[in-house]
Amino acid sequence: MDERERALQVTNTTTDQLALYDRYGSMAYGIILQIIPQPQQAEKVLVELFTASDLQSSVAYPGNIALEIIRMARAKALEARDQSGLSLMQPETSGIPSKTNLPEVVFDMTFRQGYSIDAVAEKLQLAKGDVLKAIRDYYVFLRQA
Amino acid sequence: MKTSEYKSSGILEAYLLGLVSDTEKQGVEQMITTHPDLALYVEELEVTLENRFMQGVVPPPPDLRELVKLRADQQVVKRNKQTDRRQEREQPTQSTTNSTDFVDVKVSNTHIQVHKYWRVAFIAVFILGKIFLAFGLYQYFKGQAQEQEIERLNRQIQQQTTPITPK
Repeated sequence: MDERERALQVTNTTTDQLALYDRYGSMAYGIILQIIPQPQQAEKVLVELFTASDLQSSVAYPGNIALEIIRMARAKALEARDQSGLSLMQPETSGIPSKTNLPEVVFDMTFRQGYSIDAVAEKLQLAKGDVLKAIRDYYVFLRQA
Repeated sequence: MKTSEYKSSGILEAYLLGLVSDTEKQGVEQMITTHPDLALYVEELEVTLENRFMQGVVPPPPDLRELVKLRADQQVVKRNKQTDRRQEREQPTQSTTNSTDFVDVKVSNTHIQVHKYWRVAFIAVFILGKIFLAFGLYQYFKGQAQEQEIERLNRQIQQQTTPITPK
């Protein structure tokens, strides 16, 4: 590979990453802040996300780019939170949630706090199927909102 | 499981958010590829989710964009260097087996390049040179002053030893 090709590759890769950042940077930052409320730490994760070597390969895979970035932003934020020893955000409600706010609580615990579906089922004393249904109900709520 | 039951189970939503295990993920992907109506349904869900997260955007500080650009450039250069090193490691066997291959080196630079430790050596030699020069000058002027002093003393002795003629 000669110098010209190399320079072109640097420019293309950087342009692609910047294009992704311009399109989805604000969305990813919003997601990261939901998991890590400290802006300084969240900014670090955001830069790491858009300069990650696996970002290009992930978005190149056929599928929804926004969804891929949402998943990566969440995963990286949770990883950074665990590494830095930041405490888990407290759930919005304490105790066993009522039927009306269950979807939101389940979404909060799974997506924002990083609990697995099994762990949420155990914590809320629900069947795994009910936790999945609560996630679906949250989607329905989002669609109607 | 029927597709309608599958749709209402919530597994697809959990899959899209990345909340399922690897085994469940593979199962969902298999179902999507074998059932086109599920694929369409997933696309609808993706749009809903994207719209939801697009509503909650938070603009990051403007200078972060420059940082992303800088880091991205650095990483590409680093990756290229690693590729070069890997290629260099693979190449020596070829170059030793084929002795007729010459590297065409074109030197357009008239400067010589030396190791960075030479800088320290040059500075040390320069400082020592200055010290020796100052010491030499000191010795020279000191010697001159001593000679003048000796001459003065000689003259004094001569004046003292000269007999005084009586009037």
